[in-house]
Amino acid sequence: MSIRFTDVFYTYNPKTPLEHQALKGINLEIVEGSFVAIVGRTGCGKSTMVQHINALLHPTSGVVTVDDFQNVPEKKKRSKNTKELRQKVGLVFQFPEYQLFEETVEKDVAFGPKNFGKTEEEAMEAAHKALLEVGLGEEFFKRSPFELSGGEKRRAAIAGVLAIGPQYLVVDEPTAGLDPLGSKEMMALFQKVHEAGATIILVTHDMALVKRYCDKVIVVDDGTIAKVTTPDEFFLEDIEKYSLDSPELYKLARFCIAHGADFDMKSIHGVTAFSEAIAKWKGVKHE
Amino acid sequence: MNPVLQIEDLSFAYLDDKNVLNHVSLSIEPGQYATLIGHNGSGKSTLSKLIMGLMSGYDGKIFLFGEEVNRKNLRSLTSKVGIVFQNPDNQFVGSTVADDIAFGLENSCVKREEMEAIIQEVACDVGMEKFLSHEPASLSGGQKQRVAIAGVLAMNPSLVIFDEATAMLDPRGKKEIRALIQKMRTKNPDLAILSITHDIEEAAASDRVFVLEKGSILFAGSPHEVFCHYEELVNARLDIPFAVKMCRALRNQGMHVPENITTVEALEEFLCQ
Amino acid sequence: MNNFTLGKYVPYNSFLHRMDPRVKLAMTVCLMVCVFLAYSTWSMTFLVGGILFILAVILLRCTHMGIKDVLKSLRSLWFMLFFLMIIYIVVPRQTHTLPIAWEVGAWVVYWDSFADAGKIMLRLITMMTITMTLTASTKPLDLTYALEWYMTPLKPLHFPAAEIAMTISIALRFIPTLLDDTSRVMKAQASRGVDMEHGKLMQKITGITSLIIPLFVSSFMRSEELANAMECRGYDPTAKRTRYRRLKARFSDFVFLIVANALLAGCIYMCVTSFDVFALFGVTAL
Repeated sequence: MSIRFTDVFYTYNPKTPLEHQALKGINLEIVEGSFVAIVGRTGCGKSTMVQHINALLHPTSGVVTVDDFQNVPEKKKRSKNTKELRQKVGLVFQFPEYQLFEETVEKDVAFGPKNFGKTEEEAMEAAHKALLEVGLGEEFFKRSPFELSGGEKRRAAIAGVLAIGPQYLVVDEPTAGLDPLGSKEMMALFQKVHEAGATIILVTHDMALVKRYCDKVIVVDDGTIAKVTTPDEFFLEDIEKYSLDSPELYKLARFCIAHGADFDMKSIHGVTAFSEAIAKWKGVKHE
Repeated sequence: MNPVLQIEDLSFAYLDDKNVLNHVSLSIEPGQYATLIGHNGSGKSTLSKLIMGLMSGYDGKIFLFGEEVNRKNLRSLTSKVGIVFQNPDNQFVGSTVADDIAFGLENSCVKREEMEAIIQEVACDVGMEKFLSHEPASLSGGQKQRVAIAGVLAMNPSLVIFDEATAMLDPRGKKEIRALIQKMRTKNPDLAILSITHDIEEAAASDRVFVLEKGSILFAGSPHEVFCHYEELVNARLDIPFAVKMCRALRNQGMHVPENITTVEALEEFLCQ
Repeated sequence: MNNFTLGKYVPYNSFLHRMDPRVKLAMTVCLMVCVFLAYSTWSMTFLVGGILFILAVILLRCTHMGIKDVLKSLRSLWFMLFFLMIIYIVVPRQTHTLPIAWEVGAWVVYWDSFADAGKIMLRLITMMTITMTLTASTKPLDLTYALEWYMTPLKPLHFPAAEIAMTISIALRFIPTLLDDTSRVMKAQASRGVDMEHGKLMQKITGITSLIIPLFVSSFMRSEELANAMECRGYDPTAKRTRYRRLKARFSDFVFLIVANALLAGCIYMCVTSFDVFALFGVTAL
C-alpha cells in the first residue's frame, strides 16, 4: 500500500489572467512505513503536491492514488470515500495553531475523531491519548486552547490530527518558529509516531532535520521531481542549485576539499567524525 | 558617548502572573550589533514592547540615548528607535510598498515634496526599488520584511530592534535579512542594532550576546565568551553555533584552535593556514 | 467569491480610469439624480431613460468590463424584476393615462402597469450600470480617498474623516490576507473531517464554527499587532499628519464635471417645466 503520483499536472486559476501551472508532470511513489522528506524552494509546488494526497486538490490531469483511493480530474471517475481518505492521511499545515477553536483543549482535539464517526467517549479517549503523546498532560485538558503558549498550541493542534489515527502523516514545516529544543522535541514525537507504524511525509526547508530523521529525500524543483535519493547521497552533492542550503557540516567539508583535503565524504556524518578527518588532514596527532 | 539603550534592573509581570522579566540589566553602545537570545517564553518579546513603550508598569529604569524614559519624552525618544516585528503581514500598513514606507514619514509631518526622495533612497537600500507600486499580497515574506526595514530606515533611527524578524521566513528570506543588516551597518556605522532571536548562527556573528533565561540575563558578553558555557546553554534550551561545536571537537582531537572562533567563516580562515 | 463582479475593479487605462475619483463620484451622483427624476409623459420618461441608459452602457464599455461579467451581475436582478412585473399587473391601479391592456371580468389591466414596470426596470438597470462603471474604473482605495475629501468639511465638527479613511484603507489592504487565512483554515478543518456537503445539521453548524472562530481570533491578533506596529511608527490618529497620496484633478476632469452638471441641469429643467419634446414636433405623446 502506498501513495502514488502518475503524470500529475496541476494548474491554479485555469483560463484566467492568474493562471499558473504548479505541477508539471509528477511521478512519484511513497512506500508505506517510510520517513520521507519533500524539499524545494518556496513556490516549487511542495504544498500543492501534498494537498493532492488528501484530496483537498484534484489534479488537472493525471492520477494520485492513496492505497485504493483514486484522485482524478473527473468528479465521476473519482473515488467517493473522501472522508475515509482524510482519516487515513493526516495533514498538518504550517502554523497549525491557527486552527484551534473549541472551548477546551480536549474538545478541540476530539473534534477530528468525532467528524470521522467516533462516539463522544471514543473521541475523548483518543484525544487524551494524543495529548499525552505530544507532551500535554492532564492539566491542559480542560484549559482553553487560547490560553496556551505558542509551542503548547502547536502541540495541541498536532494532537488534533494524531487523534484521528492516520496511517500517513503529512507535516508542513512543523518546526517553523520553534526554539532549538522545541524543534528537537517535535521531531522526536514524529519519530515515535513513525516507529508505531505510520508513514511520515515531512515538507521542510531545514536540511538538518532531513539529515537526522529521514530515510528518503524528494527534491521538487519548479513543479517537477528533480531527484529522489537518500539523505547521505543528497548532501554529497552541492544542493545550492535547488536553492537549498546545505547543512554547515557539508559546506565546511566541501570548503576543506577545495583547499586540498582528501576526505571520504561518506564517512563524515557527524561533528566528531568530521573533526577526526580534519585532524588527520592537518597531521595532528591525537594526544 | 551615551549608550543608545540602557536597561537597569528591569522587572515586569503581566497582571497577577509571576515575573516575566527579573532584574534585567543590559546596555548597547552606538554602532554595536547586539543579539538577545533565549528560548520561547524567556521574556524576549516582552522586553522589546517595554522598550518601545507599548506596555508600562515595570520596575526599574529604561534609558534611551542617555535619557530616562518617562511618559512625557516617550514619543520623542522612541521616534529615534525603529522596530521590525515578527509577522511580515501585521506591520504592513500601506496599500502599496511606497505607501507603507511613507506611513512613518506622514506621521512625522514630513513635507510631501521631501517624501518621494526619501522613499526612493530607502527602497534602493533594501533592494525593493522596483516594487514601489506592488501590493503586499504579491510580495513574499522576506520582501515584506525588507519593506518594513525600509520604513524604519526612512525615519533615520539611531537604534533598530529586530524582534524575531526572521522567525517566520524561509531560509532564503532569512539570508536576505541578514545580508541587509550587514549592509545597513556598513552604510551607517553609528547605527546600533538589537536583534531578538533564537537563531544561534546570527548571535555567533554579532558583537555582543545577551542570553535570557526565564526572565533573567544568564550570560552577557562577546560571542566567544558566551558560547564557551556549553552545558548551561543547552540547559537553557538553546543550541551552540556549529563553528563552536567544531572547534570543541577539534580541540578534543588535539588541535590548538583559537578561543575566539564562533563563526564558520573564521573557522574556514583558520583551517586555510 | 470570485464571481461577485458587481464591485470588481477592472485593471485597464481608459479615460475613466484616469479620471479623478472625486469627479467620478460627483458625476455618478449627477447621473443617478437624472435617472430618478420624473418627466412629463411616458414618452419623455422612456426617451430620457433610454438616452441615459445608452450613455451608461457606453461608459461601461469604456472601462473594458466584459459583457459576460455584466450579464452575470444582472442575473440576480432578472428574477426580482419579473416578480415586480407580476405585482404591478395584479394590483389594481387608481389612475391611468393609457388604454386598457385586457379585461377579465372585474380584473382590469392597463398599459400603465406595464409602463410602470418597464420604467422601474430601466431605472434599475441604468443605476446598476452607472455603479458598475464607477467601481470598474476606480480602485476601492481611490474611492476611499475621494469620500474622505468630501468629508473634510465635517472635520471642524469633529467628524473623524481621516480615521475612517485610514480604517477603510487598512481593511481593504487586508482583504487578500484574510481571504488567504480563510482558505487555510478551511483546508485545515477539511483535513480534520469537516464536511460542509453531507452530514447532520449539528455537524454543519460545528463545521461553520470551526471556520469562524479561528478567523475571528486571527483577525483580532492581527489587528493588535498592527496597532502596536502603527504606534511604534508614530501614528497618532488625533495629531496632524501630512499625506503622501494626493488626488490631482486635471483640466479634462473639470470638463467632464461641467458636462455632467449641464446634463443634470437639463434634466432638472425638463422635470420642473414638464417639458415635452414630442409636443414641440406636434406629435401626440402618450
